[in-house]
Amino acid sequence: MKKIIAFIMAVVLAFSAMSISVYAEDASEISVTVNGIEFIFEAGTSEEFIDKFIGDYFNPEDNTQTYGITCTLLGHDIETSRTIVITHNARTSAPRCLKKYYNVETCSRCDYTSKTLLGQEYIYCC
Amino acid sequence: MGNINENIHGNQSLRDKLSAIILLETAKLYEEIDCDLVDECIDFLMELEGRKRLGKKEIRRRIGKIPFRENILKFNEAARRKVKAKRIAIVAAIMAIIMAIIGVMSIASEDIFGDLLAKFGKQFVEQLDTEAVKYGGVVMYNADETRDYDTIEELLKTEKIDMLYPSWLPEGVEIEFASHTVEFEQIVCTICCNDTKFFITMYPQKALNDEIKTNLCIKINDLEIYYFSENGVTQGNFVYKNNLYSVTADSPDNLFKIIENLKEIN
Ligand SMILES: [Zn+2]
Ligand SMILES: [Zn+2]
Repeated sequence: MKKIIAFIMAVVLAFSAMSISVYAEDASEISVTVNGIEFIFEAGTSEEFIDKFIGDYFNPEDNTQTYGITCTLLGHDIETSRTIVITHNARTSAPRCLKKYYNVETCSRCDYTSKTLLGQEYIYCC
Repeated sequence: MGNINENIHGNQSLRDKLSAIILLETAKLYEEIDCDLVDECIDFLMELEGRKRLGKKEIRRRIGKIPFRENILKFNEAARRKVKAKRIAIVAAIMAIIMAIIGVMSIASEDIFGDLLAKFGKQFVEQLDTEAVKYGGVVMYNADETRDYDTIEELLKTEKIDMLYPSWLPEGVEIEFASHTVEFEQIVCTICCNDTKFFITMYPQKALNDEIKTNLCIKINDLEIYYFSENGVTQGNFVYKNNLYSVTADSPDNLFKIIENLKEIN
């Protein structure tokens, strides 16, 4: 039986107030819902990463990434993870919910992050 | 977070190197600039930056196409002065050139910086020496690590993933990546292509919901495929051996042909 703890997380974003609910599960995937869009992160994903990904998702233009001098010289120290973004009720008939799979690269030394869509499908969920 | 084969999914590094080659070459005297090299690198860079993801075969082909001559690092006195004059520009530009020199040095002379190059130049060598890089294969991803395989069959067999896989895909579309992950106790297997319009997922031990059965239905190889097609997206759902499949394509015709040619391991 899944033990689900719900808590409110304050994410400071440069635009309108949003309703945020977070479900954290012991050593399991992390589901965060912002403005009706559900984000599923791999277990162990840091809060910092979650903030950055969601911020970037809603505000892709606001992409002022700063690269440290080490990264400028030597390239990034890339870590990769998978993130799923579900838009519920994207279609009126079943399957209704759009599930997008992203490959996300982040640099362990600086602000660099980049997401690549791997594929998408409609799922039966709502 | 897992590590990944950076050659395939970390194109940022490849982009950095291409920018560095362009900067380094254009820092030379006008008449000494190798225009073919610059042109090719710019074209390649623009495609990498573009919306369409390049397949591994295409990346490999493009790297092979870069008309390298061995003297990228040969600056004469006048060119050196030109580089010096550029100092007025921005510090960042100089940084990029230093980065380029470190990168290019790694193929030019491996002894100069010894360990430093061994550590930092490795990526560059790997990306430009086609023999050292595994291209044309499929990458397996799960939350812990990634592994490279030459073919999807080999991947599915070795990773013990009992999943149907496509033996036919439209021209130019190739399988790039497969994954086996767990989402809240549900296993999800995916097969991703270089074109995101094509995608296959499999949810083991999952049934087709009755509401899905209100979609259009077509019988292919004795399987009842429930599909819909709208806004350029065609998706078919079916159950095979108690596993739920979802196949996404760009048109009904291609969807049906992909499903018709799905194969099973063994
Ligand atoms: Zn970095
Ligand atoms: Zn839903």
